[in-house]
Amino acid sequence: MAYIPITPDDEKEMLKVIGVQKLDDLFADVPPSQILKKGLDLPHGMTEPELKRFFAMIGKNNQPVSDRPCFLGAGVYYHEVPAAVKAVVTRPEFLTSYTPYQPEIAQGTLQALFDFQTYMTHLTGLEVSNSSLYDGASAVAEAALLGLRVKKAESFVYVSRGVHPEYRQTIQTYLNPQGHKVREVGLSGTETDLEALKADLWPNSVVIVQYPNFLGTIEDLSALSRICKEKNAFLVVAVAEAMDLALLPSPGSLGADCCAGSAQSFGNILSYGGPHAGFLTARFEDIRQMPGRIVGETVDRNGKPSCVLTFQAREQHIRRERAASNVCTTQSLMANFASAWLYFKGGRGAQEVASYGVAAAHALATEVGKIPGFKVETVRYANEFVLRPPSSGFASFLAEWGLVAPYDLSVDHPEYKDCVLVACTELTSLEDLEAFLSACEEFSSKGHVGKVHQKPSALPPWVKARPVPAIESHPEVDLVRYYTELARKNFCIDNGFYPLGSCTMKYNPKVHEEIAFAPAWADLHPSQREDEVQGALQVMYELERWLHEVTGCHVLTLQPAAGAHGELAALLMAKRYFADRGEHQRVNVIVPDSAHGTNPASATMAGWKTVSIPTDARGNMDVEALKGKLGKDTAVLMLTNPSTLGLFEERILEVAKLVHEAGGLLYYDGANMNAIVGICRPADMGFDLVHLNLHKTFSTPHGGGGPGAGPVGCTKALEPYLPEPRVFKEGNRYFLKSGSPSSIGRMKGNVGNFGVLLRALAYCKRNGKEGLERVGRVATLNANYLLARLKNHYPVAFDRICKHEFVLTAEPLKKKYGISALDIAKRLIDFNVHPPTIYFPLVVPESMMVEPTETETKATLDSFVDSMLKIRTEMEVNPAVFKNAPYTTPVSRLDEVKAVKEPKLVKK
Amino acid sequence: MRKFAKTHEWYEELGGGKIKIGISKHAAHELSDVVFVELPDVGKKLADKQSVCVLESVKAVADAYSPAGTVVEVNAKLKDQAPLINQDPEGAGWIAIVQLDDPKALEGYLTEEQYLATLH
Repeated sequence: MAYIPITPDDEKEMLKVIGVQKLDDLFADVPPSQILKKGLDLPHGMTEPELKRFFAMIGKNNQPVSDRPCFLGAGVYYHEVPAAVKAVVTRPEFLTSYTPYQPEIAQGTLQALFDFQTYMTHLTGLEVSNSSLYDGASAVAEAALLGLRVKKAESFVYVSRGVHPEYRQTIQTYLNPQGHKVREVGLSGTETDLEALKADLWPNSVVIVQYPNFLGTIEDLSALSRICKEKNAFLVVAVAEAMDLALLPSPGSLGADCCAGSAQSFGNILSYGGPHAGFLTARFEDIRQMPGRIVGETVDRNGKPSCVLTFQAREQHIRRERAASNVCTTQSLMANFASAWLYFKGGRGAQEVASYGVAAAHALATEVGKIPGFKVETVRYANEFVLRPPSSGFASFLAEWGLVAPYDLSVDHPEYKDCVLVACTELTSLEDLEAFLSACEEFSSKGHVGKVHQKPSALPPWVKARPVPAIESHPEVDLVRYYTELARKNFCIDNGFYPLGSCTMKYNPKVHEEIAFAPAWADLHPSQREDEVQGALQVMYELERWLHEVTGCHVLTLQPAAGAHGELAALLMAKRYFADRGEHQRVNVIVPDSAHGTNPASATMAGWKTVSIPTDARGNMDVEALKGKLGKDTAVLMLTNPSTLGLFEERILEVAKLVHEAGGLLYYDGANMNAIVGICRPADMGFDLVHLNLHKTFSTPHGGGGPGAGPVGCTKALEPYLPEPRVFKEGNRYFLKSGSPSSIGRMKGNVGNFGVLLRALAYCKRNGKEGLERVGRVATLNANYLLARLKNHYPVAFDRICKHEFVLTAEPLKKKYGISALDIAKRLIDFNVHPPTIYFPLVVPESMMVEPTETETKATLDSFVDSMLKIRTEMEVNPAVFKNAPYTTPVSRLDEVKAVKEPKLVKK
Repeated sequence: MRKFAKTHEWYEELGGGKIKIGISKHAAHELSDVVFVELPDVGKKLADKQSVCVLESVKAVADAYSPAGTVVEVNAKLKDQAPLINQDPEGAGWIAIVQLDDPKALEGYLTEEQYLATLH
């Protein structure tokens, strides 16, 4: 098996230690009817060369933008990703590490994100930043919700039609469930109609405009800010082309209260639309309303400056149903790419890049405006404008001329039917401009074509450059050394054992990275025509088929960018389903008290209440208590199976029946899917909605806190509610389709985190039927082996055969020796092991959740046991050693209280 | 005279059906460094055992609960000096004054002795 190093001899020995006869005995608590008799109906696994050949062949059905003139923008911009940036940020220390909850072994990620936060505040002119969100569209939706929380009143949200259509759809999806109303503000030409806004604006509301807007206009933020101040409204400025922030006056300086959008322009490859970093900046006074993770600076025990996640009390893992947002995993790696790009190029470099793009657009606009029949429609453009051709068919004509077909505006802006959206960046060469202009001449068949003779440098008269953002640039060698040094401070899967319960930190295969960065996959723009991206659509289609077989679900959406995002999508689908049936009284989401914090937080975002069910003595959800809570007001029961305690819910079939009898829906939290892959399937057990974490079960790298992907599967009855667009196949052709009237809409821009989906498919194909059928079995074998060897030395929360993870409790140890789970975790770091998850699930005091995964050797498992036993002995003979552990890390324990009391959220 | 709740609040009768609310020394110690206090708005109506205030420490969030009533005053010092809760939880770190709906509401709660007995 490719990534499963446990041998048959290992297995024999381990089963003996556990005390069972055969591997199947570890699944005795799974109802026999659920065990897949014939396993998974999937193809055999491929060798690595076969895998590479497969992706090379279907990659031929993609036409990357890198080899033709590309004027596609529309929210995703084709910028340079310097080789050095890619080289340093894809280091395994950044790629394969987890969210930096143990700061002593994550200073690399934390520092890079702290830099990102600092840079975004300089670029946006606001005071604080988070460390990323899923993408531009969802970031702006979160900003809308932030504004509503700040304003507290029953406010409206005004969204300009100048905001990207996908952003607007996503805002609607996020605002619907909580009953907020969106009011559209029309355009006057290509800019927001300020008079209309002024006339319509209610006090204490939220206003959202984009800068530059979707049609390219640099909105008059000063005027907008004045209008907003008159009515005490909260101004959110959305940004899709973040590069322009280095050139244009910052939103903060012009009166924005919050700025959110996409940081993709800085160092993020196109990757067919994702993963890309979303960002959000705001005033310090609103920090407690901010979603996402925030990094702050503090000192360690020796006074050494260091970084740590701070203001965590806002987040779902602490606030649960009272969290402002359910966001957990975001896009750390993508923010890291942005951070490295800005560290390299600096504010000056960014301003130069932005200036060139704007100058090129201006040169192009000037020349094309001379060709009869062509008109530049956008007023006050930056690097993108709407071009009206003399007649229809221009977009196709450009494609035939050998350019990447530009964005067709007719879908969302019928007043610009037949027009195209044209964007220029630093990658737009003189040859590209010439190609475009000669195409225009040919199309018009009148007039001469102008020529852009020299490198454009003149900015249009309405663009006055802001002061260069105060971001220092660095020579390439220094960028590389800085990041290499940061990398050394991270502990990642490639360094050692990473038994983080519930996170499934399995080995991240290297061949996936090779495939994903090939131009055939990396250089696909999400707005390319479908015939140019058949390979990408095929990847999505095939992944859906594999996940359908693994989960048993009828269909799936691949759009959600993270687990919590998928949870929210699923709950919104359920809500719409009940609304269609007139069952508005269903307002309760039931969760076991062992549930992950995102579950109740997602319920709140869906506009629902959370009801908690206790865990029984066996570690299962208390079914009798559940019976007491089920009723006509039940919407959804959210269950993880095995539970967050690593224990299979033995009465799952009965639970499914009870929920359905009460008229509710059953949702599967796929965080623990790794235990049951190939053994049993959630849909078979009765789950109506099934979520997966591709960055857990399917080996895609965690990136220090994202990107992830959270596909959601459902029954046929719920299919109409899936987010859109979806991928379909007809004959040999793959295509995207939207149009279900019941769809919940968009969860984010583009099709999803394509780069993550690609890696997950590679993982599936490499493993094949046999590999995937071994995953759950060996993950469970490994966990039970560790449990058997540790249980006589560490108190166990539930002494029963576990699945892929188990929970120890340090409470008796705390009472006897004064050693807490935290102390044990910190000491383990000195043994070159990432600590297990601590203090989750909340139902076990001083919990330590251990999940080895199936990708470790028996020797590694034994080494872990040895370390744990040594630590156990230390408790008796040398307890003092725990207090200041870890000793072997770049920084010692950090002062987290100081980080909150004396917040330092940007570099001064 | 003070009464205590199992949920670690103390309630001091001020007369006229008004009580002062804070959290016990034990709770303040368990919470450790309080960094932010989310005070209620004056005039807010509370249901029985509803949260009157959210206390935020570095790694946790906790509610302070009140019997049914209306918030008539809050300890404004806590806005800038959240650590008062840890320094003097049963004195200067008081949280709010509530006008009880039922002036006899405190009868169902514990004496200090009874409360301390619940902790071990």
